[in-house]
Amino acid sequence: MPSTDLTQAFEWPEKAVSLELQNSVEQFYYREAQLLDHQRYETWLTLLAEDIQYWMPIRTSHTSRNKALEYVRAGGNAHFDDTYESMRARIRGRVSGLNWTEDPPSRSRHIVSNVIVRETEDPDTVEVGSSFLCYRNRIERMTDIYVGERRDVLRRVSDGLGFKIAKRTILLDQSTITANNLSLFF
Amino acid sequence: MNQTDTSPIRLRRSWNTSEIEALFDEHAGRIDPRIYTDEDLYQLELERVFARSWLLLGHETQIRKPGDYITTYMGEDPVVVVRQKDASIAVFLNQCRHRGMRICRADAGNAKAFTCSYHGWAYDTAGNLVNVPYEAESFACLNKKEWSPLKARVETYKGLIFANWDENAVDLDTYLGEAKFYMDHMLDRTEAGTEAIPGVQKWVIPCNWKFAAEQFCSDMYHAGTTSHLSGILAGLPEDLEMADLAPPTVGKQYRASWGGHGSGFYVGDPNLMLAIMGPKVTSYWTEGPASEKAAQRLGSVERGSKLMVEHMTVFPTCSFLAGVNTVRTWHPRGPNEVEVWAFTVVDADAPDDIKEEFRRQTLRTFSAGGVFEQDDGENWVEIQHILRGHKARSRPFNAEMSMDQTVDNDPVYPGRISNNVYSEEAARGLYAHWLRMMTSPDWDALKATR
Repeated sequence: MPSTDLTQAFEWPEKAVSLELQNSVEQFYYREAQLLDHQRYETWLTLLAEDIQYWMPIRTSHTSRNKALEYVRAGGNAHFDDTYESMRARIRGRVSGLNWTEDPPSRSRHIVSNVIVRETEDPDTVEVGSSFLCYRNRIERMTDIYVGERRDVLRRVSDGLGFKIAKRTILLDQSTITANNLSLFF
Repeated sequence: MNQTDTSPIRLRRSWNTSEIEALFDEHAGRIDPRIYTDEDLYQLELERVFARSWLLLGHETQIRKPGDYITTYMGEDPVVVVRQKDASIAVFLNQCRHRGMRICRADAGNAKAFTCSYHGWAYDTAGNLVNVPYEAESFACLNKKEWSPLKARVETYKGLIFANWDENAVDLDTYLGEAKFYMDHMLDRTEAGTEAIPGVQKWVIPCNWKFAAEQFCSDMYHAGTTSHLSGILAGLPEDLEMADLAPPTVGKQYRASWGGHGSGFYVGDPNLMLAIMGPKVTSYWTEGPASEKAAQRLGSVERGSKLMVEHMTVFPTCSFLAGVNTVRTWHPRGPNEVEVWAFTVVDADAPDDIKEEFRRQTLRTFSAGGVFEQDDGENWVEIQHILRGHKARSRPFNAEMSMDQTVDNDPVYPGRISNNVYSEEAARGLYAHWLRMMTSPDWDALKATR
């Protein structure tokens, strides 16, 4: 099992995975980003496994000696801590035409990079670390930039886009959120 | 100034009293929009509202052990909040008196002492200056007591930590007055008290703090109309549609007799609470042993188990929702911006699965990414942006909703009570008290208005 200590770097494999696997994971992420950037929320939901944990912990500021305190631990307050059911409910609200903070919709761009894939003992499961820069512009000139890292567990499937997201932990590079809300998915 | 005089420096101001008094007309129900935008009024607010009100700093369980501290704000002044060896709580300005460096730069932790990183002035956990490098050689006459950071008065109410800089202010108990009755609906349901779920979510909204404070004080209307339609839909069971949900209409609203506090709540109808908190929390709140105990402690079945989605503001910037149990401070950041610092409380003796359900549901609904609160952020940002306009600031806002529909002698509920939950009576109380504070030179003058 890789380290679950979020203050440590993603535990990459000594040898990078095959070009084919690397390519398939990256293409999966690019397609996922397209779905989010074009408000295809119901299709995006089909990429989530029914046992998904979608978690964005709160980060706090400490001296390096107290680095272990940086992330509010699992079971504490968080920016997101969602199940498939609660994600489905969020999307039900989102596509209703009544979710004022995304209607008119934001113009968003999910940029994905720095993809590192790690194979696990289960041939159908990979762990992936990646960086994101998510740009949001809405209404006239409101502009926010969200940057961070995602640590995913992806599960191979034979249909759809080839993977489902079984777990996503989002390390947003902020303590105080400088945007007026977190209405996007990451 | 003699060499030990550290008395405050008088700050300049531009508005005179009669001009300020014209900004809110309680009897006509009119708000001058400049109270949300004017920089000079904001500076006066920092002095006359934030520097002498009881402000919410957090919850006692966030600093359990001696040396535990959190850093937060009183207005725009950063403060350190530290648990002492005798279990008391010290609050001091997070600013070294030498050249103004921030003494403690972490959000929370445990300390035996604090040392300023600029020139090494060192403080004990109560904020007393105890050591100055090269003191004998270079600061021969230094009175370390005189040059310690400013200390605030600290008092708690059933877990919530409040602080006030003003020595002449009434104590917290008097300041809250009968508002305690409504705070108890969340804070005193069990002899075990409440605890905070670890983690404070902080975010920035470019809008004036009064929009947020007023909404939690008085505005069930926005929740019962359009603001949160998508949030409600996101909480309905899959087989229910919006048309199946009749919004509650029966409820009451409280306006403090004095002090600007306010609260409102639905009575009996669980629909909105179900949509926000789900069946598990709603059941815990309204039936079974915990609910019965709350009813017993609060002296009424209605108060313990039939009040739904209660909103409340303790003037100026302490807000919470009893039943949802999100608690937050609105930290002002100029007239055009506010920071929200929010956490969740639960009954300390609630079953683990109930605590977990409160945690998941509050962060799903009332948080920066929550399906309810994300839409509040959108509204407030647009309001503030429009107020850049000249014409937009040249006509009053309407605050005359449900005028003259209150009683001051309800047999159960103290204060000024409206039997219409959709009212701006509590908002009028908030702005009336804001006006009192803004036009009173000191607490003696304020006390005379009671």
